[in-house]
Amino acid sequence: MQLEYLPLRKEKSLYTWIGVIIVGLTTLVTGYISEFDVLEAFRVIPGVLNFIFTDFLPPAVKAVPDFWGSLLDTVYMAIVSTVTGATISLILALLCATPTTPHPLFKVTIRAFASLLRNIPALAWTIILVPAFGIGKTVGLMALIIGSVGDMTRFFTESIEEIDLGGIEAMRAVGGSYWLMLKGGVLPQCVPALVSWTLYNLELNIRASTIIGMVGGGGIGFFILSTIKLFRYDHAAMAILAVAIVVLFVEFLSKNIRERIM
Amino acid sequence: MKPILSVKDVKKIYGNGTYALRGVSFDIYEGEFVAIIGSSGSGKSTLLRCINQLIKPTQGSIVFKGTAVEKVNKCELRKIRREIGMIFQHYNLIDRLTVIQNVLHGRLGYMSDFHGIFDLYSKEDRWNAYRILERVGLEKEIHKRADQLSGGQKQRVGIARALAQNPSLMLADEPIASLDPVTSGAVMDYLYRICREDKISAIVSLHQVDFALKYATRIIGIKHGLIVFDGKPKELTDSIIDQIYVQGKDEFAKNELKLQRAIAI
Amino acid sequence: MNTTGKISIISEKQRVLYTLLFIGTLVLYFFSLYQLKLEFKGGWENVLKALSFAKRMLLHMDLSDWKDVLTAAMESISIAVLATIISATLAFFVSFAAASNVSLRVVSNLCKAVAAVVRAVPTLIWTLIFVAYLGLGPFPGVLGLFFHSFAYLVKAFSQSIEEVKEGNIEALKATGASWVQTMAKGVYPPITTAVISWTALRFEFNLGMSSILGFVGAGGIGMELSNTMRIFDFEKAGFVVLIIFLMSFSVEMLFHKLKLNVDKCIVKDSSNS
Repeated sequence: MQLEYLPLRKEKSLYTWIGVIIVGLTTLVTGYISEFDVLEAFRVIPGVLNFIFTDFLPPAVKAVPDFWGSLLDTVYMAIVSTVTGATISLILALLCATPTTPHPLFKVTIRAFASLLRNIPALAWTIILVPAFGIGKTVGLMALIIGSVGDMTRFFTESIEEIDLGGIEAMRAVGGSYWLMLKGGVLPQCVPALVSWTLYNLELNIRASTIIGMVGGGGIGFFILSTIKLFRYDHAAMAILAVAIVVLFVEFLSKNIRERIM
Repeated sequence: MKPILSVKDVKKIYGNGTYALRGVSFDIYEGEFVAIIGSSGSGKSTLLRCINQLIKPTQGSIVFKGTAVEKVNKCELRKIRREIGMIFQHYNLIDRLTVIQNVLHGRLGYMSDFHGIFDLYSKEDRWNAYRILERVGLEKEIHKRADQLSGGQKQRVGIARALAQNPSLMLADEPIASLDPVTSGAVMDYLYRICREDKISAIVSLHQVDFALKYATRIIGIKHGLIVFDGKPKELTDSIIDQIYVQGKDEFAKNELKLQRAIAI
Repeated sequence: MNTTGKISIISEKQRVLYTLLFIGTLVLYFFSLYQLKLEFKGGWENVLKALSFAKRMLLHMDLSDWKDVLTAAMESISIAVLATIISATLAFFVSFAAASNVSLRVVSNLCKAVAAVVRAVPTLIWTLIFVAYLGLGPFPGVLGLFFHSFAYLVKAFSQSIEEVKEGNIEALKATGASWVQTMAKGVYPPITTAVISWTALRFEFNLGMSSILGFVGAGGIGMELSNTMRIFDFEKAGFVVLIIFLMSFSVEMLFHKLKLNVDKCIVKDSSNS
C-alpha cells in the first residue's frame, strides 16, 4: 500500500487560497475605511424593514396626480436620450471600429472620447452641466445622452469588430464603395446586436433618468427626494412603486423584442 | 437464489401524459449482464432511472437487496444509490475537473457533506481511484481535465467513477451510443470484464443488437413501455427483433439490424 | 415570381419586424421630444458659459484639497468593494435556491420575484431610503449598494446555474451524493468563471455608483463634487471629476486586461442599475 499523498490536480490549489485570503483582507480593510460594522448591519435590519413596512407602506395612491407628469417626463427623457445616443453612437462606432474606420486616428480619438464620457456617471454630468444650463429637463437630457453615447459607442464598436470579415472582403473584391460595404457587409451582420444593446441602454436610462432628477435634471427623482426630505414617505413610496413598474415593464418589453430579433 | 433487484409492475406517466412505462416486471440475479434493447423512446432510459430513483415511478415496486427503493427516505436513498453505479450516454463528467476528481465523485455517497465539499478524500480512496484508473488504462491521464479527453476515454472515466462507488449493480444508459464502432467495442470490453471480475450485475441499455448479442447473458426487449422479450440471446429471433424495432415503415433499419445480427453470429 | 424584384437577404418576417421597430421608434421619439417641450433659453450663451466653466475646471485645476478628495475617493472605493464582496457572497448561496433546476419551484419563483422587485428600484433610491432611516455616512451607502447588487447577482448567478448541464446533476445524484455535494461538485465547477465575471461587472457598476452616493448623503467622493459645485468652485470640482474618472477608468482598463468582459452575457439577458 502506497503511503504518499495523491494530489487531485497537477498545480497546487494555492491560487484559490491566495484569492480567499486577499478577498478576506480586502473585506476587513474596506470595512474599516467605510466604518461598516457587520453586527450593526444585522442589528439595523429589523428596524429598516419595520421602517419600510410601516412608514412607506401602504403607498399613497392619492399622490399619483402630483408626480404623473414628471413620471412621464422621466420616460420621455429615457426614450429621447436612448434614440439620440444610439444614432450618435452608431456614427462614432463606424468611424472607430477596425473594419470600418476611415483612418486609424479616428479610432484612438473616439475611444478616448467615449471612455471619458462613460467613466463619469450621468448624475455627475448633471451636476457639472447645471451651472451653465440651469436646472431642468434640458440638462438631464444632455447628461443622459452623454452617458448613453459613452456606453453605446463602446458596445457598438465591439459588436462591429466581432463580425465576420468575409462579407467585407467580398464587397471589396467586387469593387464596392465604402457605403456599399457598410450596407451590404457590415450592418446586416451586426444589427441584432446593435438593437439589443440599444434596448439594454434604454433599461439603464430609465433608471438613470429617475435619479438625475434628484440633482435638478427634471423628472420624478426630484419628487422622490423632496417627499422623503419632508417625511412624506407614503407619497415617495407610491412614486418609487411607479418607477419600479415602469422599469419592470420596459425590461419585459425589451426581453420580448430581443428574443424576436436574435 | 434471491434476486439482487426485483422490478414489479413499474409504470411511469410523465406530466404531459406520455406513457413511458406501462407495467414492467423482471428480476435480476447476481452476476447477470443484462442488455435492454429497444428503439428510441421505448422507455429504456426511464426504466434505468426508475431503478435508482432519478425518476420517480408512478406506480409499482422496485426492491434492491431487500429494500423497497421507492419507499425509503433521503438518507437511505443515498445509501442505495451509492451501491448502484451508473454510466451515461453523454458521460456526464464534470468538464472542468480532473480525471481523478471525477472518479472520486464516486466516493461522495460515503462521505459527510463537509468532507465532500472540500475534497477531503482519504488516502485510501485516492489510491483506490488510481488503481481503478489503471484498470481502465487511464493511469497516465489522472491529472488531465475531463474536457480534454476523447469520447472513449471519457466513458472509461465514467466507468471508473461508477466503479469507485464499489457497486453491486451497474446501470449503463446507452454507454456506447455516442462512440464510433471501434471505441464502442473497447468500452464494452472494459465494462464487461470489470463487471465479471468484480461480480457486479449489470443492466445495459443498448441500441445495437450486435453488441447485445455479443456480451449479454440475457436480453430484455422493450417496446412502447412494455417488455416484449426476455430471454437468452440465442432465443432472440429475427421476427422478435422485427417486433421490437420496426413498425413497417423503417424497412431499411430492419434490414440493417438483421445484417448486424448475421455478422454477430 | 418577379425576377426583377429585389432579393431579400433576411426573412420576410424579420423585415416586417425591423420595419415596425424602426417606425415605432421614430414615432415614439418625436412624440417624446414633443411632450418634453424642451426650452433652450440662453442658447449659445449657455454653451459659451459651459466652455468657460470647463476651462476653469481643466486648466486651472485646484489640487489644494487633494488629501480630502483622495480620502473621500478611498471611502467610495471601499464602499463599492465591500458592497460587492458581501452581496456576491450572499447572492452565491441564495442563487442555488433561486435556480429552477436545482431548487423547489415555489422557492425558486419566490426568490426570483423578490429579486426582480428589488432590482426594479434604482440603487440610489435604496440608498436614499437607508439614509432616511440611518442618517448620513457611508454605512447606509454600503447597505443601499448591497441591496441592489444582491438582487442583481442572485438573478445573474441563478441564470448561470440554470445553464449547467442536467447530466452533471444527474451523475452526481446517481453516485449517492447529497444535495449539497451535488451543488459543490457538479454545479459549482462549471459556473465559477461566470460568477467571477458577473461579480467583476457588478463591481465596475458599483464603483460608478459609489462615486455618486454622496449626493444623497451616503459618503464618498460624490459629497466632495456636490459641495464644490454648490459654491461654483469649478477649480476644485475639476480635480474631483478627474479622480472620479480615474477611479472608474483604471478599473475598466484592469478588467479589460484581465479579460473579465461579460458584455456578451448582458446582451443575452439582464438588467442593471
